[in-house]
Amino acid sequence: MRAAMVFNFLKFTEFMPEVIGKAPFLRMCVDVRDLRQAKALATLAGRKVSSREMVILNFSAHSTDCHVYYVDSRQRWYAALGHPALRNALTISAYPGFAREDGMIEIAMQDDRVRFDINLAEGRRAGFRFSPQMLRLARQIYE
Amino acid sequence: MNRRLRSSLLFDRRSIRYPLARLIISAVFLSISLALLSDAFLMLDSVRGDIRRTLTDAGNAAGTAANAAVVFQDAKVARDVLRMFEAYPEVEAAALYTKEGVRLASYGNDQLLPIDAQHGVATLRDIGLLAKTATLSLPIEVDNSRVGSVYLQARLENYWQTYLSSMTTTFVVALVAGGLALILAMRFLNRIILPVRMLAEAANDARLRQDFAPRGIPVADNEIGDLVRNFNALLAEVEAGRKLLQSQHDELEQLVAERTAELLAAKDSADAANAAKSRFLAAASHDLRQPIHAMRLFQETLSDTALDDEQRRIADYLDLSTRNLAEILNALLDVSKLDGGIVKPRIEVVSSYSLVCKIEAEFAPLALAKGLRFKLFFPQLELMLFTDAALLYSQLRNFIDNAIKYTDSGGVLVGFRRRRGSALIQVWDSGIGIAPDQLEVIFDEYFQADNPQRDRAKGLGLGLAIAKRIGGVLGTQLRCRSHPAKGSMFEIGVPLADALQALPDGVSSACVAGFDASVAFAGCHVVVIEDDVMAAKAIELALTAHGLLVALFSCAEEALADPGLENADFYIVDYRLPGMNGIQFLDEIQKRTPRHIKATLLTGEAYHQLMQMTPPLRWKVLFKPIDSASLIYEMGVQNVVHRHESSLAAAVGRW
Repeated sequence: MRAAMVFNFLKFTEFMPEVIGKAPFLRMCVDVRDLRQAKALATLAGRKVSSREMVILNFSAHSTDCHVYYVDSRQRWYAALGHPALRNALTISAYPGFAREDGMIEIAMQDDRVRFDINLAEGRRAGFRFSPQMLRLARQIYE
Repeated sequence: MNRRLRSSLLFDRRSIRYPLARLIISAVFLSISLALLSDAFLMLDSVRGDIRRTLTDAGNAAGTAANAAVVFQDAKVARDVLRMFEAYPEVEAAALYTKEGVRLASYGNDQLLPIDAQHGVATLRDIGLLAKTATLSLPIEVDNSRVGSVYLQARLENYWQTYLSSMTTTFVVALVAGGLALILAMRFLNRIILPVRMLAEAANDARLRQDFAPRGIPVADNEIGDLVRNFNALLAEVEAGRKLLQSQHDELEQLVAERTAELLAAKDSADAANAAKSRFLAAASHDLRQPIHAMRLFQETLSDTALDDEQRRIADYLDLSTRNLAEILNALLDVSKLDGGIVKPRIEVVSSYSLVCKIEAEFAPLALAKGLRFKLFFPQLELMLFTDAALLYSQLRNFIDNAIKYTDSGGVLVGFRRRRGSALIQVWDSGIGIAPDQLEVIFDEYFQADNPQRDRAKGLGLGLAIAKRIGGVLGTQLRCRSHPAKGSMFEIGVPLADALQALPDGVSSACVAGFDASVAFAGCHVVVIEDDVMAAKAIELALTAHGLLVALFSCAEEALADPGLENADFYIVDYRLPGMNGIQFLDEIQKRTPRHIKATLLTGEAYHQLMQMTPPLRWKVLFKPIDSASLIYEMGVQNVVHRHESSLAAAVGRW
């Protein structure tokens, strides 16, 4: 389900040209510990976002040029902060407080429904433009 | 005039305005109908486009606005989005469906919406005319992939109301435009037809009333104007022509009147000249006949005396000369009378047999004397001719006389035959014949075939001329066929009378051939009344030479004074006498005695003159000059008739 959510976020997010450049693929770096979660995200490989096929990569210290970064915990997020590969990456996570801690999209569960918060300032900084329709659905928007 | 014409044109089915108006009305009606129809279709298409566009735009807008809500299946936001349809009052229900087809949110009347997207497939392609509702299902796509769908249903009455009101307005406008077009067309028609109609009435008026004055028909400077101007010019030309014609007619009438007057004057002059000629002819006839008549009687008397051979020869020459002279005079007078139209035929029923008898009596001896055969051919059933007996016989005499004259051997045949409704009388001879080139001129005066020396023994050359003139008077057809050296045939066509209507022939039919005068008249007492001394003497000598006793008187009164006058056997009386004329004298004698007296009138007048002067005659008339043979012959005829009547009366008495 989280993988579907991630894919939907990508649909409503516009990657600026200076961010994505002429890259033929949309590189998604996954920084998770749970293998099942990693496999679920790996199912997104090959799907197209803005005419680009998605490529799923495991994030590491040597990763470069991540267009999308998914992290499963605050610990890993803090460890990756400042990594050059994430300089222009859309960051997504499901641990609570992610949007307040310089993350861009935080997936949350509320009343048995999937909701999300958006850190609009961080997204703009990184050169992303979020769809108004998606912003309208956000539980909380941080500007 | 124009108002009257307009009103008359309006209802006149004969006017060209009627079919033109029908044509214009039909064209206007058709145009308006086509315009309305096309407008209706175009507007219908436009309304359909509006519906389709509006609903599609609304659906797309909702789909776009709700795509994230559909993707993230946020029903609350989806419902919020659907509330946008409040701006579209025609949308009565709408719904958003997820990719899986599950209804996420709805708007308006839920009962109108399908439960899932599978049942909400609808398009706007087939929006029927005045359809109450239309449904629409549109996909919601994000990044070219379908993430859900939007469904909506709209009421269309507002669209159709607009459409109908627009059509009504268009219809009213079209009607008004059509009416205006008709009014304009009628005015235009009037501008064309009115002058044409006025022109037609003017033409009719000009024809009926002969009024060719130019007509003041108001027209513009166009083709109709040219027509009216040309019509007026034509009228002016006709008027001028008519006046010229009238003038020429008047001149011609005047000329005719003048010429008629001149002709009448000329006719009067000619009549006067003709009368003068007739008077001269009468005088010449009388004055010439008297001495010739006397000469002949003297010559005959002289011939009967004892003469030596030389005297006899001279007397014979004298006889020939006087005969020729008499013949010439008679022929010339005949020609003159025929030319002057003086001779009027007396058409009656004539027996062919009487003619045959006369011909035989006259010409059989002549032919015999010349050694020719003379034959008469006639049908057993007697032909009754409808003609003037005397004139016809005169014609025949000329032909038969010529035939005998110009035939030296062979013979002469006279034939009567029936040919259809007429009788053909033909005179055949085996004489010298006539050359073909001369057949046309033989009827001219003084033409004689084979007589360049003008031998008087062969006649004067007037016979055929006289015959031709008589033919003209009788209306009979003359034909001649001839072969030189073989002979000729002259033919006369005479009308036939109905044989049943034929009257018994009179005295003239009596055949008297072979009459012996010396036996009949021996000792007869004859009274002769003649004022001309020489003529009287000549008659006396001629009659006494035949053994008759003659009492001679110079006037009627002297004779009437004679007591033995009524006992005479025969009276020879000149018509023109001093005092009582010959007819009056004979009538007086007939009054005095109960028996039928026998008499003959002698006259030097022409026949027609005598007829003009006297009532129908009961006395036989002989025209001077007369030879003694004719006189004796006439006396013999009357004596034979007397005997004939006596024997007939005796026969009837025996029955």
